[in-house]
Amino acid sequence: MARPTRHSAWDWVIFIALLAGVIITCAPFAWMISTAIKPNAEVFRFPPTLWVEAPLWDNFLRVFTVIPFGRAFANSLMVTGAITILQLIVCSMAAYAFACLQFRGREVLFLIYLAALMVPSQVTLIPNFLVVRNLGWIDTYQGLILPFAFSSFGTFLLRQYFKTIPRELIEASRLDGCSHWRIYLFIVLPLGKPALAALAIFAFVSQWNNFLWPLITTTKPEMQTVQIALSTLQGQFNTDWPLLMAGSVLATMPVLAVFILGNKAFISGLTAGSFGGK
Amino acid sequence: MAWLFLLPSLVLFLLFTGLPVVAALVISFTQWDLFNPPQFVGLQNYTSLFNDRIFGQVMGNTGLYVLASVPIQIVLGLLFALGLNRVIHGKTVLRIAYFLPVVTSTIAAALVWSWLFNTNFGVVNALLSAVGIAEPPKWLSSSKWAMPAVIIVSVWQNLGNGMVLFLAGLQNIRQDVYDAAALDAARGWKRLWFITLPLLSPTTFFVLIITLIGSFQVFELVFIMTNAGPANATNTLVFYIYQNGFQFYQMGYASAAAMILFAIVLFITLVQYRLQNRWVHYG
Amino acid sequence: MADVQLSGVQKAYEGHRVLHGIDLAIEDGAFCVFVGPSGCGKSTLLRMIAGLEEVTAGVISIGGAEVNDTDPADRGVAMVFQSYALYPHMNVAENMGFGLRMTGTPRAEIDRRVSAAAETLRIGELLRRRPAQLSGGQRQRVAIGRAITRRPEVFLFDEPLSNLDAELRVQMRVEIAKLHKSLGNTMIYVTHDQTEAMTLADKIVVMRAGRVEQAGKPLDLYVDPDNAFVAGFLGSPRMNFLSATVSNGGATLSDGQIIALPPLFASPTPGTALSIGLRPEHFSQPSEPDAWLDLKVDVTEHLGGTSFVYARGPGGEEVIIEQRGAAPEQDQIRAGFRVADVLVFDADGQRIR
Repeated sequence: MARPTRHSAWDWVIFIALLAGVIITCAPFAWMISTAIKPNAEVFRFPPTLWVEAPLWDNFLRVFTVIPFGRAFANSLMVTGAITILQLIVCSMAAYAFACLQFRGREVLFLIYLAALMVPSQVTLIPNFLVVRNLGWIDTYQGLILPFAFSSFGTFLLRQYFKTIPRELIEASRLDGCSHWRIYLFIVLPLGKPALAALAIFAFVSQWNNFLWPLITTTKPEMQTVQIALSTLQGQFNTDWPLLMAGSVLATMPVLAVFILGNKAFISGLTAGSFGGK
Repeated sequence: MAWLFLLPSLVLFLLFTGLPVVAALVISFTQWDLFNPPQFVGLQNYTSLFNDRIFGQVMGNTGLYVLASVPIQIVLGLLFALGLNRVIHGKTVLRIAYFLPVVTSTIAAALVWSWLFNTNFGVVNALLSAVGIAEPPKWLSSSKWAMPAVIIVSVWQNLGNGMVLFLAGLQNIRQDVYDAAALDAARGWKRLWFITLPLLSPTTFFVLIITLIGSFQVFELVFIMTNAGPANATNTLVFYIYQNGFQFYQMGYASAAAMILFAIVLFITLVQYRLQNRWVHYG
Repeated sequence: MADVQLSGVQKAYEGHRVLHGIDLAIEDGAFCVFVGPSGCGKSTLLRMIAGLEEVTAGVISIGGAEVNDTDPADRGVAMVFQSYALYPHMNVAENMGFGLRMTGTPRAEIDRRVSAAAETLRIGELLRRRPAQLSGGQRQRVAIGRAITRRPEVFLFDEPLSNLDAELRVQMRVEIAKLHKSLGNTMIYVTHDQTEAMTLADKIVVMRAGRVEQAGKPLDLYVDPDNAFVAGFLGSPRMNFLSATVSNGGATLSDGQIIALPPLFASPTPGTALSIGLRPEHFSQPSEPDAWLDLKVDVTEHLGGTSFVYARGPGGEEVIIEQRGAAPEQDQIRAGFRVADVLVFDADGQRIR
């Protein structure tokens, strides 16, 4: 089949193309880090160099002093963590009902949840803003968290996975006298770990990067999330590239770390949900 | 019993998705600046939108962005997936590398690319002058080159998404079908055209839909890189919604624009679902 | 029409050898069955003949020409896969005509050959359907039809019936036999099922752990196996083996009973360990038994026409005895056989003739 002599030329072409792709993909990251540790003298030099002669780590500290970046970081962790946990709870409960229980209107309700995947979040932006504003939740954690505590995509992802759990297992537990709460807690959730992990990473990554909602529902610097802080930084120091790059590095690190550690789970979740996207 | 499990999701769904969709439609028929009570104005917001010269420009920009960004993303994503599918060692590492931009915050990505596209000190123009281009574009400050710059960044950022999905689709194609094709003399391009692409079509369909829908929602790139400028050259639909709603406090007008976004997304989805049995093959 | 010759064929994956040098001649028009337990390398060997696996060492030739480096499509072979491997996005007619289309055969010729093959397999009314709309048996026919349409020199079958239910399996087995009779092509067929091997083959190749244990006509292998593996693999229920040691005048079983041995060309020295092989039907009322075994009965199965008695041999070995008609319920049985039917194997399982 694969006779090496015939295919080797192609294989080299593919190899070089893939390598070029990786370089183009990763170069901006390299440049981000390189600029973040450049002294000003090196930043505005032409042609620019990737290599830094006199690395300067001050910029990372400056980010925390010129704006409340530490607070923003803590806010982001708090908000993202809370959303992730809430999505796991809310979506897994709904998914359990859809996958393991019989009730009237199950299919219709599931379709309605699915249809929500087609509603762009910008459509509900203004009404949601009005709801949160009327509740007095501008500049509050609950205002940042609750609108994202439920996810149609997460429900769909978990329901598909829960459906693969053998029915006999659930029926056997029923015969053993387990209530639905016990089955949910002690059978379905432990068996659903891979899907829950995928959802957790998915939720973490997308919420850490969320921008538009915190942009319109936070006004005070101490309630800003990392992404907002970063855009504020740009507004105030728009030519201080080392500072902006240092901020970008810091804002990017947590998701990259989570993704690299959990990339298998993340990608399996992404591909399993061959239906509905981010 | 089941409803107890559904209660939290139902409350959140109704409060933050179900009712807001209806509310958005209602608000789009009003004039409302948040300080005075809303006034019902019928279809006036929609007629104004259609006569709004800037909105016309916004739709043109968004259309250009989608038409350029989506095909490039899909074709490149497919090519890289086909290449990566032949790699035996190091596939996981390559896949992670290609996917890094997808999980990177768009704000950080937009910032670093703004720096790369910097007219005087940016890497892009340094490379262009290195290959002998005397007057490289002014990129983000040029109304002609700002949009291409945004498109380049969007391709860079989203390429990995389609690629990973295509790769999963390719790995789902069974080896025995390729074996049968080998015996049937379907090799190289013929195999790609007659076997691989048709069997990949459900994935292609899915990638096309999510990429299209995602592209219509471009916002952060424009917000950071160009702030919709210069002279609205990169103002897009979602940016326009944001601008009208939260900078000009025209909630009704912004909602009408949002409903148009919704209509476009619905239309694309429905048309694709109608067309899919012409070219999508489910096993 | 073509014969298939294998000489010294080896296969290794990353240094791990799975085929250890296979020499085999399959005559033109033969129905050759590779049979053996899973993992014996039979499918790998078939895939190497098809060109789907590279040959590590040795030579494969089809119709007299070496094909080691020939593309699968140019070897004049067609293959029927275990999973059918139909193209899910094409209808039946497109599936069957695909190979011809790829080689640039004119449309009319493709149609003619597809409908001829469809007629042979009686799937004419399925031609516009997709594989997903077919039953397992229908898919199997289409897969065979796809092979026929290409008019290959050699047909290759890779466990084609293992995904079918028992009844359909028997039915398709007969059809494949008929097909071989009417087409007269060389066919190579891989299975782990000894019944399929015995019923279909002109030539059986029994394989184990990457080696050919024995090759030959089905009945020759059945009656005159080279070793205990072949003897045990062919036949159902399988052959009984009793351990014994050579003594003067015969073989001593573990309980001391001495039975006579058939005349052996190489008579082993007394004290050597042996294995005595007797098929269940050898106990089935031989006209003149000249030896007997006293066995303890565990259970008796009545099949109507015959019965199988599951008993314990002197060393505790399970011994299955076939009896015509209904066997009486009993605790002990005295089972008679003819010494001439006894097969003798040495301690390594090699036949002593």
